[in-house]
Amino acid sequence: METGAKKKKIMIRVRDLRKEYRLKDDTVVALKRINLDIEQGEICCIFGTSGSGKSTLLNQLAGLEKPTYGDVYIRGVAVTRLSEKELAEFRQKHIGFVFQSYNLLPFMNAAENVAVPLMFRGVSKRERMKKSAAILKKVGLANRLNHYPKQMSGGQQQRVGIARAFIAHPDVVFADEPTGNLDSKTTIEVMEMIRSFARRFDQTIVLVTHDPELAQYADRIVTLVDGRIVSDTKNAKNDTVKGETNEQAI
Amino acid sequence: MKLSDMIKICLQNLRRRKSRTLLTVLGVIVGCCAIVTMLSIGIGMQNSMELALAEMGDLTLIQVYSGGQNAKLNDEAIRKFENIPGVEVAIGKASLDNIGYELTAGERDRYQMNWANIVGFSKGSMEKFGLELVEGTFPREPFEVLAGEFAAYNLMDTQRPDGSNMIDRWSFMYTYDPELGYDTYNENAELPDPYLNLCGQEMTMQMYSYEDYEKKYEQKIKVTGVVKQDYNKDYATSEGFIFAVTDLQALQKMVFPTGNKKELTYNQIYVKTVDISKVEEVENDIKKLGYSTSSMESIRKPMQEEARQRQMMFGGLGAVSLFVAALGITNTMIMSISERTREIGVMKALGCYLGNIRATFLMEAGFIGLIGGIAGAAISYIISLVINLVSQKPDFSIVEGFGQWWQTLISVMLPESSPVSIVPLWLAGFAIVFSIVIGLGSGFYPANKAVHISALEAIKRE
Repeated sequence: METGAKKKKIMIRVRDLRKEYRLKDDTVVALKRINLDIEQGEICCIFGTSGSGKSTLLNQLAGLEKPTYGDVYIRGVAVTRLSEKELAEFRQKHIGFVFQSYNLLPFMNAAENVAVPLMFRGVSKRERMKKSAAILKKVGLANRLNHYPKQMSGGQQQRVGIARAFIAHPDVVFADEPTGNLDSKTTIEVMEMIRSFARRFDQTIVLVTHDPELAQYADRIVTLVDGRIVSDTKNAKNDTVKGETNEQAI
Repeated sequence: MKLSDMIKICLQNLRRRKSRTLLTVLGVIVGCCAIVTMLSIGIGMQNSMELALAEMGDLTLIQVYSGGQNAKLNDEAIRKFENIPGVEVAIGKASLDNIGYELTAGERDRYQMNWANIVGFSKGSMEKFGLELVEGTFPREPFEVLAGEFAAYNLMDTQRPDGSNMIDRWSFMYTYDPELGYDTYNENAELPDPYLNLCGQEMTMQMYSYEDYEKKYEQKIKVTGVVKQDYNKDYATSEGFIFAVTDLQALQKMVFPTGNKKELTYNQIYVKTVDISKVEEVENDIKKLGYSTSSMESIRKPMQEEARQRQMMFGGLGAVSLFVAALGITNTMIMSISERTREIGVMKALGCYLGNIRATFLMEAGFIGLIGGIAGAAISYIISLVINLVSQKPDFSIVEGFGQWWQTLISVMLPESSPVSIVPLWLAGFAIVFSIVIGLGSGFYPANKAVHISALEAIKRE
């Protein structure tokens, strides 16, 4: 693992990104020329109020939507130019998601849900269930393997969601308001968990939120207003915490 | 994604909405049963028709008549016909020209036959022609002959008084019915034995030419077998004798030694095809050679055409209900996809291939078709059985034990019993395959809809 002093590799590179939405006879510009570099291992918060364009930016970064102009590179690959099939393969290998509403598949139990990214890759059932059980143990749900989403609390469901996002060891995990539906105690639990996973494998986290409290978990806070980056600051407070978290075994 | 995982997901999805899946499957079952039952009735009709036609005579037989100077019925013609693909055998039929004859048998010519039909068939082809023996064997040596099934009833016993010296077999076949007030014909009436069983008998044939009644010629013949009556082949199979053509030629020469017949010509040639389906083709080929023909085809064709039309009509009725079932599948799939929009978005966001998503939904629809098809085919057999039981009303009162009961039950399904509804194995198989195809077809549009759901659905806030 590289230390903070060394120059880090750029994981996500955004160049001249612009996104317009064409309505009937009106064009709404959601993103106006965004340029941004996110390093490997960085926990980057994209902060903004609703309508600031932060969600649109996340969609472009994760390749869920094509931009009007500009490009997004992840690991040097222009995700904005990939075909649907290449994108699916890229997501399988390099990207994880944590959703606000957890988005677990209702017909699968916790262990199966966590194993879904591996299933898409064609990993055998035996192997992926082993990995799934191991990671669920790490998020403290060892006794919930066979529970279905409906049988679990929001915090438990989100922990399953986190396990699913990290099981395939992606390079980047996108977290979209991951604690939006959770109480403050669970929020702390979940955020600590995301951070410790990321630190352990030097993974990049892109956290999208409108909550200043949540932003404090990030190394860097990028603030969006009206589709423009208005500030980009290092979060000094978090640096001190970083060292401690690293030592904690997950 | 592994195939087994896709199958598992598809089954899980079907199980999630049990009642909806069941109702959709039920739709397919009804459609499948409708189409199979309707077609089975059509097949039953065709079967009954063919049974009736077969009773009328050999359907594979074509009669060929002379077509003038260039189309003579001779040995060369027989060779030509036999070279036509689809022909099993071609047989010439000849008779005695301008010769009168009577036959005698028994000790000191006790039994006399003043009237008999004599016909000659090409040697060695009697068996292939489809002549069936009631007893005895086919002739091998010269002047060995076959007797018609009822030829023996034409014998007159010279040692009995006039008027009661012959057996009139027709009087046994017609019996007076007091209820109806007239005679009824019974083909299978019990007949008394003839005076003499002709099989194995030596007979004497006395001949004279119509030009000179006084001069008699004699020839010994031996009956080696009795042939089953079949008017379709020749009247001689009933009341007459069947000779080899070469023997008839020899007789002709004996009576008319100076006759200047250079080559043998037949009265008629019969062509037997290997299969009913070849008859039309072969007939056309023979006509092209300049001959005229006739066969049962001219009766069978329009009947078959009508049967086919009826079958199409019935099948069409069934197809309508299967089409409705297809709409049901499409509807179910579209509902299920709109309920699962978010799930599909999540799957896409997590890196599921589009092909896998499409395959999963197609499989779901195909599975509904498969289950419906299998159940539909099975139920169709039951429906068919019930229809046949109702129409044939077999007698179960004389049945003892399960084995016999089962035999009786199954007998109504056998083609020989001319059932109303026949479900051949291929029809059941076709129904299952067709249902799967219908399922896949109706799942196609919904599956494409699912593929085009955006991964953004996963991000949308509730």
